[in-house]
Amino acid sequence: MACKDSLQKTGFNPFAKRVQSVPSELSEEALVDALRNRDEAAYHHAVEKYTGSMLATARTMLDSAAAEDVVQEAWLSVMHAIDGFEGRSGLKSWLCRITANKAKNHLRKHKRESLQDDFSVLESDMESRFSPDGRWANPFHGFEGHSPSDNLERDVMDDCLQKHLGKMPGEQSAALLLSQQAEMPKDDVASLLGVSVGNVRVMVHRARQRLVLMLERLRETGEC
Amino acid sequence: MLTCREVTTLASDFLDGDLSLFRRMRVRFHLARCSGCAEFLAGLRVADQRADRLRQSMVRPEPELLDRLKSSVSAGLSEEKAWSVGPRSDLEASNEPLIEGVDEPSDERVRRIFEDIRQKEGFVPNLFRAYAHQPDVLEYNWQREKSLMYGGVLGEAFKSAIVVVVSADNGCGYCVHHHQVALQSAGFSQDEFTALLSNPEGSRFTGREKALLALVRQANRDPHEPADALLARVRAEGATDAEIIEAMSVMELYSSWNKFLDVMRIPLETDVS
Repeated sequence: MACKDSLQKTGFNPFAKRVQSVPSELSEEALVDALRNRDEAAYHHAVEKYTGSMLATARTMLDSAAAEDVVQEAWLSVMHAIDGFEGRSGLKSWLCRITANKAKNHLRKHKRESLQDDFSVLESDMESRFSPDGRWANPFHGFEGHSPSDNLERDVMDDCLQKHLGKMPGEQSAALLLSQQAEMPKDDVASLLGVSVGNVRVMVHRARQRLVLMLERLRETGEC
Repeated sequence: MLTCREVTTLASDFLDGDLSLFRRMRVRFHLARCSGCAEFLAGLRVADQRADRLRQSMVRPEPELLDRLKSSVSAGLSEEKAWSVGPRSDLEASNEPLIEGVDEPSDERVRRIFEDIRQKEGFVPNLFRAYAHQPDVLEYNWQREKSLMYGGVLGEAFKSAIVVVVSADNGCGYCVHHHQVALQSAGFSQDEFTALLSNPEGSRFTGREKALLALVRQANRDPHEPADALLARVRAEGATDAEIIEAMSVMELYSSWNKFLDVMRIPLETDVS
């Protein structure tokens, strides 16, 4: 009798029990149980329910196509990892964490430069705007009370923003966009990105400064 | 008073409420008197709002994406089912072992090792009878079993649970069966044993042992998956490095035996019960 036969003979097949239907409103605990039982309908239900949040996480670091690949990869590892899910964090943050780890690996594989060695608080283009006594030599104008006047301006701005977010070094844009999610405190962002909370704060500040400089340039020269 | 440059460095922390009360007051005081800094803060807010809107707009999954994900998940599940329900059809043609075990060893060293195995295990499992064709291989494999499973820092029943979970994941009934017997002699009921396979988290083991089980299970199933979080959990539960290494080694030893037993179609001994 071969190895796999004897598994059947022992009668203990860990995957034998599978439920076939999932009620539309399921408690998180019941859903996790169904996922542990490798219930296909439960997986489809979870894909519908959580893909948006997972995509949101992946998009903070990656472009649209790469983010979709990473989410698919994340779903495939869920069926292995679900047995180790402890339920301490909610299912959604656990899924987002898996996605963020995959996205981070993707970034590292594709060798985008890392910010790790540059943690000065001000962007270099900012430093030159101060006089030696620390006062503004070249202050910003026109942000207070400003909102984009029409859809065209808004679209141009968003296109430019997207371009600049994509070009930011290391995980600066990820730090900013992840922190913007209400359910994601900076400690969580820090552990996802593998840096300290202090570093996340600097990364967020640097990302915002870059965007302010970009908005100013766009307004003054029309160039992105 | 803070300088403009200082306020600029603190601006994001000010917006995000990450400053101490004292610093927050100093920044407020400065902002009330400095239009340049007020402008810069307004600029940060605009940048933040635009980025937030952009983030929200880019995360609605298209129906096509959801369909693609569902079929990929279904394919993944059926692949898992395929290897968990039994032998492939091409194996059904023959279940004859690819190698006969050594029953009556002529080699003196093999005889001594068999004697040692009999003392510990009560009989010589077919796994070791197969390895006996190459005495060096037999010796180090038995040595690993002996030092890992009969010595070490982790409990014997717990190590049998590692073997059972890992071998079930690898589809190796030989090892599952042997260590089921070990668990039963440690007081595990049939129901408890079945539950261990479907959800180790619900088993009678301690938090530290469950964390180790989760770690070695993922390491076996998906060695490319980052194990940082599982390792952090293991450490948070108080496991020592020696315990981590030992649990990983049990997984490592049995996952290699799972493959050897499966490929060589080593039969379960008829008298193991």
